[in-house]
Amino acid sequence: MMVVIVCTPRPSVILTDVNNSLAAPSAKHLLGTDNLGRDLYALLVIGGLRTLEVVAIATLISLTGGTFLGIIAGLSHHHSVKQLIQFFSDLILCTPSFIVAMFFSAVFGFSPVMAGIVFGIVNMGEYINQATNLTILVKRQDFITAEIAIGLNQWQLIIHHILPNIYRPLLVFLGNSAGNIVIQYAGLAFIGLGTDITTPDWGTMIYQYRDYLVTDPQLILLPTLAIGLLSLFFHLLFDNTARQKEWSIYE
Amino acid sequence: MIQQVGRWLGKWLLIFFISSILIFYLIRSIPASPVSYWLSYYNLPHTKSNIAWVSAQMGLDKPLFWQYVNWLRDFCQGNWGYSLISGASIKEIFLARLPYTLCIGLGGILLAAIGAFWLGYYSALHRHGFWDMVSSGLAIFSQTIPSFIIAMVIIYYIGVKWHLIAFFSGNSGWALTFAILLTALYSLGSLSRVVCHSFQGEMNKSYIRFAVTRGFSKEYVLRHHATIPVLSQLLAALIAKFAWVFGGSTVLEFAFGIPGISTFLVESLQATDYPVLQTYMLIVILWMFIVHAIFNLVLQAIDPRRNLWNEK
Repeated sequence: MMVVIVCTPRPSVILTDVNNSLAAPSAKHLLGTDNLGRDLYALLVIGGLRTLEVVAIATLISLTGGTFLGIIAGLSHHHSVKQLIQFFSDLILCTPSFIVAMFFSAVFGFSPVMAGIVFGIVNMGEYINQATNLTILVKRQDFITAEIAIGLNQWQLIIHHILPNIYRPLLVFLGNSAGNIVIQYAGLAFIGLGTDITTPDWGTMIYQYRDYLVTDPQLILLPTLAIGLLSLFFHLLFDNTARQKEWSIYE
Repeated sequence: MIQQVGRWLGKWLLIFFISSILIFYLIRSIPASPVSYWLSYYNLPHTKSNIAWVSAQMGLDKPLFWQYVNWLRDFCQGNWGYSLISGASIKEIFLARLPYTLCIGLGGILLAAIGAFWLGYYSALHRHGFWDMVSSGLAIFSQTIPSFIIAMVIIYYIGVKWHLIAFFSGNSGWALTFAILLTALYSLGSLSRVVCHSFQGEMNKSYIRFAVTRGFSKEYVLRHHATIPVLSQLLAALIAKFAWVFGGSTVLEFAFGIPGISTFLVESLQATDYPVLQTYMLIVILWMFIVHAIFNLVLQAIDPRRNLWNEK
């Protein structure tokens, strides 16, 4: 569905059409227009693409970096390597992500790529912890000892045995953090470190249209719904909370 | 024991130093410079001699290494420097604004912790009951709708439409109250799920089951015997929330116009006021250290079996 939305032609984002301002949804403007006649649907789609860009870059960085470092920390025989990686993840975990994102936006300018990199690095800490703990759990099992005794080398061990056994909880966490990234990015754009409305972000849109909260609530409602739905989508994507039948004396 | 505490302190000292180096060099690499901001602010031409003079005044002409050493030494002695743009003492500004931010963060999180304990308790008692639905709903709500939307709706209806409260009139009492309530609401969902899972985990343990089979009610047993392990888990979850005290309040301070430290940070970012930015980041690290130390002490008091100085 995303591909369909992206590929269908849409009106230009920058084109204002003041005669048609605040119009209701119509064939020409699928979701109506804003106070200067820009097409809301186009604004939402471009904002969505930028948000997806941020989420993709951030989750790629934190998942690969965090898992890789976590597995190394879990498997390594050298205590100093473990200490170093734990220290690095402590350093990341104790810094507030939002502040760091604001700093980086000031240093390198506000762009989805930059926000993605920052969110990716800052979220890596939790991945490292989880991956380390899970790797240690898997490492202790007997079949791993048997495999190593047969002569399996380290890389094959990681790819064929460790990764398939630890990826599920990591993916659940990925879903949760992706949802949070959507909201944090919207907050970052809302504060005003974002750019103007011609490079639309959902947060910038909400900031721009806050004057029209009651007169034309759809201007605020649509980006809010978009943020909410996208975040919910990510949370539910890997949410496989199987309701186990817990036998107990209470039920 | 002393050794472990010493190692833990040493780890935090190392974090402090490495962070200070990273912060310093990161901030100095911002392309904009306070020199050009200052010259533009006073409508002076950006000639070479002007830039050189202002740089010398701001102390920016010394080699970076010595600027770093001087700054760190002054910070540790309590002299937090002066803002490059306004010339005001940074310590005074921070101490004036910090109470607002801490109020929102601490007040919100503590309120959320109390509420989450009881909400989690009731949702654990009746699975899939009313409170369970409320707690899950809150958790989902706080992860999908950003808080500044609710802030705007509140400001509009209570402030503008019904004229109950004047939010931006300089008296920030009501704005602070709503900011605290919103922070609490947003933390309540996830914290109550932690408490609920924790209680459910305890319910399956043998000591609780034996007490119930002997005839004590589930409510009584959980409240009187399962509280301590659940509290430890809740407190551990709270530590992570405290990292949000500084960051998460930014949006709410901005929305309600509260003169906290985060709005000051945004202004300083736009002016690239080096001393303010550097000092702010160090304060954040210091804050996290204090939070971790206090939590370790509290958790140690509640559950002496756990040895926390070895863990994070």
